[in-house]
Amino acid sequence: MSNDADISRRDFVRGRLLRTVRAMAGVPTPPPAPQRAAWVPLPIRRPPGAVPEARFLAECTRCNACIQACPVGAITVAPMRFRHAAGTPMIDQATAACVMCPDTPCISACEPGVLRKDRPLKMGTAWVDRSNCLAHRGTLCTTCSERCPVPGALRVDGGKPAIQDATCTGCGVCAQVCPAPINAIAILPLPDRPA
Amino acid sequence: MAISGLVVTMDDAGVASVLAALRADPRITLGPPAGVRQPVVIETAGPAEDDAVWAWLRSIPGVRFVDVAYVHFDQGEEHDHG
Amino acid sequence: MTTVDRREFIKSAAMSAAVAAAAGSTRAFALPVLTAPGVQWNKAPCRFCGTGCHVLVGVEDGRVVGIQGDLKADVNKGLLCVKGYHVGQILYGKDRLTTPLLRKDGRLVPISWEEAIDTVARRVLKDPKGFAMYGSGQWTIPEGCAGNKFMKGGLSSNHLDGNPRLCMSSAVTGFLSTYGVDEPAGVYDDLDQCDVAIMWGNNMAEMHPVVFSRIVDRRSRGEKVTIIDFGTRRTRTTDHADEFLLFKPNSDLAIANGIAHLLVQNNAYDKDFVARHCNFRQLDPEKPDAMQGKPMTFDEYAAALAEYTPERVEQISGVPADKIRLLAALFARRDIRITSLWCMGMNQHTRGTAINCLVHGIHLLSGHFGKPGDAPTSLTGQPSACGTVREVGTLCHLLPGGRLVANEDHRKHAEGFWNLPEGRINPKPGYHTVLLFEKFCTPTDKGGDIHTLWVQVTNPGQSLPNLHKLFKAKKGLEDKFLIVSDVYPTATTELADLVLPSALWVEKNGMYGNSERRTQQWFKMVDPPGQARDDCWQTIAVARRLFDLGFEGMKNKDAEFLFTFKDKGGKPVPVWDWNHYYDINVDEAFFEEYRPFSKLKQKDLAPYAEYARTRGLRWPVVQQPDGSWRETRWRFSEFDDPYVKKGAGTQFYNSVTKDDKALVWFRPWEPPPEGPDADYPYWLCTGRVLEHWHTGSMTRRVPQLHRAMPAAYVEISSTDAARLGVRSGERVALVSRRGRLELPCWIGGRGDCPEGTVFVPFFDESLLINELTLDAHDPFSKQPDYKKCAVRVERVVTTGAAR
Ligand code: SF4
Repeated sequence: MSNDADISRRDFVRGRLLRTVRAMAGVPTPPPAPQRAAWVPLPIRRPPGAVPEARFLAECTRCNACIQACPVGAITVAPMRFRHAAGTPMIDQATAACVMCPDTPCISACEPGVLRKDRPLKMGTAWVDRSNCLAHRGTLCTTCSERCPVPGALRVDGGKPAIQDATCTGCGVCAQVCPAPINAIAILPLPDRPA
Repeated sequence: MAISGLVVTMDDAGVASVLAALRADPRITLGPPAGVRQPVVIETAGPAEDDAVWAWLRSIPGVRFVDVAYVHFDQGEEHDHG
Repeated sequence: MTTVDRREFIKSAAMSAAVAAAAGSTRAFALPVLTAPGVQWNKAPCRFCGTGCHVLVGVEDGRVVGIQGDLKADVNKGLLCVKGYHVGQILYGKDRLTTPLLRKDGRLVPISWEEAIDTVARRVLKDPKGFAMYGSGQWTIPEGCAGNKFMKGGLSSNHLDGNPRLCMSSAVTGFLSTYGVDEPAGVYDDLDQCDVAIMWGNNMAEMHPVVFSRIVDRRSRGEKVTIIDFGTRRTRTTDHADEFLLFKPNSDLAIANGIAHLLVQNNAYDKDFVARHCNFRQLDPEKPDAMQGKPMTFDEYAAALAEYTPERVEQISGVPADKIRLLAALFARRDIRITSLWCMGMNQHTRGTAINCLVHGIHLLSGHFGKPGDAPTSLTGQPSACGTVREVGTLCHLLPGGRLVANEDHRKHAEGFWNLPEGRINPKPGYHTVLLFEKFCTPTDKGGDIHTLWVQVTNPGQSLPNLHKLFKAKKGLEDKFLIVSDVYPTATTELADLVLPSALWVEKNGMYGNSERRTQQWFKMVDPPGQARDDCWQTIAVARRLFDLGFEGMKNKDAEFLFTFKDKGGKPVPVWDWNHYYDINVDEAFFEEYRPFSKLKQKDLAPYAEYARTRGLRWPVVQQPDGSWRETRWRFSEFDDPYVKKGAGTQFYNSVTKDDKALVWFRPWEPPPEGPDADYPYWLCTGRVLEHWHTGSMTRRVPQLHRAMPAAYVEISSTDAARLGVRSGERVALVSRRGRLELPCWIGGRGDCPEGTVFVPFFDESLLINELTLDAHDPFSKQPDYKKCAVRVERVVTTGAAR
């Protein structure tokens, strides 16, 4: 049986992504009664095999070749609200997921080489919000684990999904298929891709 | 404004001290207890404070679980992630 | 609302949720729901499965905006399955039917309701004997009452059957043959108390997830409950099972006989219970079609079982002899409680009645009956297969209250309750589902004597077996006319000549009856879209049109209209006029007219108002001296059932043999009508998946459910896949003697078939697996076998580039 005490309502509604990132970075819980969080850079999820973010921004030519190469239409142009990153390719978790094509056509299509075969395919890490996950709330559900395209990345433990951070590529398929009333899977972007 | 309804499950031994701590906080309203399970409502200025109270509840010695039964946040207080 | 009011409102809502959660017996409560003032919450049973969970439906500005599990409901205690959480969205699919449509020159064109109703009435007048109705376990109880009275009491025709014929009728014949009365003696509470739960070919984790959670949740509270899964493939249920017994399709009868044999041979049966409460039966070889069979002695019974030694059973079923011994040893124990559960695996079976009888027999023989936790319990797939079809009697041989059209007394009673002239009800049973569609799809000059079929609230164009023969053959038969009342375009409306747009779920009043004899009620909460109208109204409107056209059958004994409903002042209300349909509560009127039937076989129902007040009540519901109404959980048991005589302990008061005893049947194992051979070497099994319900016409319109399970697939073992040279996601073709279908395969996905078996879900209307299935059916229940037929699997060679 899982320890329900870990079910964290802190991560429950709007803003859960931000707060989770903060929690993962080890930032302590804020003291009572702060009103507004400070501005943080908007996290952006790149296609697989992306070079570090600074280099990506500098070298991506915004040619859209990866967008055209993607067979499932998962890659889109970052909209204006991504400010400095607007116009670059991204995968919007809300609407799409990378399906982990074995032959990575997006990388093959990238001429400037900001998507590279020798880089890890990791785009982020899936994170299960236990307060919204049906399986964690007593309802039988195994959809995410069945559809995960990366072997071993999403295990079912006592009927409940558990993400293996090291294996998970953050492709987002699990978040796409999650049938919970409030989607229980967030894809945390990589805080920074290693050089 | 944030209002949430929680159930605090306590150790048998800890009931008295936990309840004393809960009563001392004006933001917390206690409902009729069911054994070691105490329904409470937390009323705070916003989600962040609600979080802090929730975290504090979990840290009180004698509290085993804190479960969520109800949450209400007002619009417009959170950072927009698009 | 002022800010202070609003704050107080939210606080009180938060408090009541917390209090309810704290009082709940388990720590698994409903998902948190974000709500706001202004949202009205009302109770309703879930629209989908026979579990019968209650939801709270949140309505704001005439629209359903939220769903939460109902903490006050006994069935689900606040929990819902993934479908239930989204049930509100089924109302808002983009392609709702909103206007009557008539086929003209091959195209469906909008027409007025007047023309639509008149068209139906004219089809009746053409030849009332050839007009049939096909209803549903999703009909509300009043809708079933209306259809039943319209056909049997109005048209003097018994050509009214319902889709539970395809899902529940073997359970019905099993209960009738054993106890003389339909429906389980036990309830879901058994699952809270049993030590062992046996799933007989039942994937409860996906099909009745909330009831299954009820068992599994006990483990998380530290209780021990053993789950034994009997199956022909591994499923999500197997993941939670302590024992998985894989058996060869169709061999379940041998296993059941093997268990009974050991109980008898080892002298381990419950002698006292058997002596007091059981008689023994077998089929009469001279009249093999007679469901009554003929008596046999205990010694004859023991002798008949003798050949089912564990070794012989192993040979037939593939289940190791030791496991059969283990099961028999479990049933031999008197210190544990055992609940058996089953659904389509046992019912959709050419020997469905037989296997149902055998499982009841094991429980009776071993005395695992009538105590909380000791019960043989069948589950239903549809929300009101029990309430509307089995109880209201909307099958071609039944009258309300579990009575028979073929019985003169029963007909007289019904004519009395319905205030009909004597002799109005036809003594001859009508066509059962398979025969009905066969007659409809056969040209008139070749004996197809059903010219018009009115389908309400179901989708036979997808759910019938052997679709080419039983449904698609209608195409091109010019004089045949198909009328379909539904909420979305379906595989059935594709061939419809007239489509009637219907109100759905909380767009109308309704009542359902779930698997555990629980009758439930809800009120209309929002308006149906466009011109969609209640199915019940549609039936009444057609009846009235016939009455106005002078059709004698639409008059009762006093020459009044068959459906005359009066208001409080005693004035008839013209409910056939849509503008006046909700002037009174038609549901209540139908229900009160139907209630007296329920007492005829101790299935007593309470007044309508009691159901409006509660989250359902389990019959018999009997009034107490203080005026209150008390439900019954354990039927036939003295400690709970008011109909059992004091001192009797257990009493089967509807007994076939009229001596208060139940029948323990001997039924032999026999080979299936079609099995794998050289040309068709695989078994094909069909079924449902967790995310979709029935033919998917509702759940596939919920984006979350559709994304989670977008299309049908074929589940195939990795060994077979390797042999065929296919990988997950690649397409294969399944070919049976009746049809061919290409679909992607899924290996090691949700379930796992053994070598030589494939499984395909039937929810996907673009991949109709029922074009391949067999229409062979059980001789007593007439229920077809969707679980077993022979197919060939072929690799599909794709030409050109993959992408
Ligand atoms: S589909 Fe069945 S199990 Fe799921 S919520 Fe509805 S009634 Fe309950």
